[in-house]
Amino acid sequence: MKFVSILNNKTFPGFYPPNCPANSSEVNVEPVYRLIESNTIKEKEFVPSGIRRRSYFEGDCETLALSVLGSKDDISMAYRFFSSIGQLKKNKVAVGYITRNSGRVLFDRSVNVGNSHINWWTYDGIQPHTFFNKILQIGVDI
Amino acid sequence: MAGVINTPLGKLKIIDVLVSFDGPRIFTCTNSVAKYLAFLVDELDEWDHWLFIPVTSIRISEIKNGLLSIREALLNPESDILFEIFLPLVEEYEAKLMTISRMEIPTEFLPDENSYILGQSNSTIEYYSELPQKETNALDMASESARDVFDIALEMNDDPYEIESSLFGETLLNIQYTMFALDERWSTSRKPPVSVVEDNIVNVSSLFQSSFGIRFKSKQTADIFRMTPATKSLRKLAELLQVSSDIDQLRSKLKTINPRAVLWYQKFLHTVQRARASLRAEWAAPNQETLSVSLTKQQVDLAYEITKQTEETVSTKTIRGTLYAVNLRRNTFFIEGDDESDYSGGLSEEIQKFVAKGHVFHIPMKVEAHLEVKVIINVSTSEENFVFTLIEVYEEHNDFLINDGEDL
Repeated sequence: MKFVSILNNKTFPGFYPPNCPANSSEVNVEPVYRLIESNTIKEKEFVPSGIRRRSYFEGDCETLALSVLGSKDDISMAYRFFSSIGQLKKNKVAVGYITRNSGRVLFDRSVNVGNSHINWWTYDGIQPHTFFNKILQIGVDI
Repeated sequence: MAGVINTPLGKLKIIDVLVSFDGPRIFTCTNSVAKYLAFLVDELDEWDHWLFIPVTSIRISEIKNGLLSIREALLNPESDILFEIFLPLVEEYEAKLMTISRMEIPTEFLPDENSYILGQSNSTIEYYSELPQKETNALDMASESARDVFDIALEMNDDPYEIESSLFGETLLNIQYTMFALDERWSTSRKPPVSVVEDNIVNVSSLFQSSFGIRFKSKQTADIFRMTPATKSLRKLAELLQVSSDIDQLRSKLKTINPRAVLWYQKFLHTVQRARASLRAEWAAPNQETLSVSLTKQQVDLAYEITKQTEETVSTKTIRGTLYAVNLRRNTFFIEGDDESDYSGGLSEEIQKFVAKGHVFHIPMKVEAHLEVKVIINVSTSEENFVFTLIEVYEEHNDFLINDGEDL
């Protein structure tokens, strides 16, 4: 397991909208899964779209959250869904965990990718990729 | 609001996110001129690769209802031209736009045959809204514009984003006239006095999605105390709406306001009823006073019934006076009483039959008359209405009786 340092004071970055995220909570969740493309854990695959796309996109609070799944059973469903919309490259799964000190979460069930879908807003200074430590191959390990 | 996306097609406001996972991936958006379906083809290291296709509201409904797959939508756009756009993840880069014909879309860009969107609709019919989202809340707008702001939202299940034009018109009229009537200066005259109208006029400044939201703003701006001339009436209207969820409070409130205001408020509630809507309202004044209220359909029904509630008492009365008019076509009469009261109303069936046999009234005629007096009291306002019916009439000098069929 990688060492994860918690050096934050539980605040969100200044560019977050006021009251973002609302209706969320601090909880420990383990394990969590995230579909990725690479064979290794890379920071760039753990950046919320609202930050990744900020040069052309002004998103709402939800786009500042990272999408993860809380159940292994939903991985296949999510993979099938991504494949159906042409995004076949995400065929690996990073396995990790969420700690209550890392940020706030909202269990946000999705018809398309499963009931265990979680939005995870990380506190300022937290690097989400450091919370993942294992990669599974869809079709091999799952 | 899900967001705004800056593209070579302009600044596009996201209307509806159809697929979101790490942000919107498939969504509809608009630049107020055209609507587009946006489809994320790929995420590259320095670019996001998108397709934007022009779409109509009907096409969007078909996608959302699972009648049309994303693949079919991309292959059969409303026009032959699609927009392939590379949007940079690095600020120094410029976005790239290319037009391609639908026949030229590489198959590797396309999703599967079965790329149907799931779970966008809970009902068999998905309504599409052309109404914009409310961008500024009432309180902020009141403060910024120095005008009173009154938002109402008619929440309808059937066709939630549109309203019959006549109901829309009546809603506006009834709100405006309830406001006029809540101004105590409109007491006796048939029309509201000019001063009442000038002070209380509200303008419709926007419509918004909620399901059908209407924003009113006072025509006049605030004085140095941050109150407009319409603040008082709008506060009263908001308070009236607020107590409408409680029968006892509503009854008490209605007794304290002008019966004319009760009548116009009743008309307003009736339009909400006819729209089969529940109601939300929010009033905010420039001085930061605010009130918000929500009424279910049942509460609207009940409030409407309470404004209509009446009690009737029936009695008879004998009067002396001069019969000045009998209208045989309308079966009405008019007697000027010796007690200096005027009596007018309908003819009883017996008198109507008597007249039908050929009896002629020689008016004016000094008479003694027996009247049925029906008193209708509005329970809410305590306002009394008198309805008279002429039952018997005697000419005083000739001593004749009309009601038993004897001739003159």
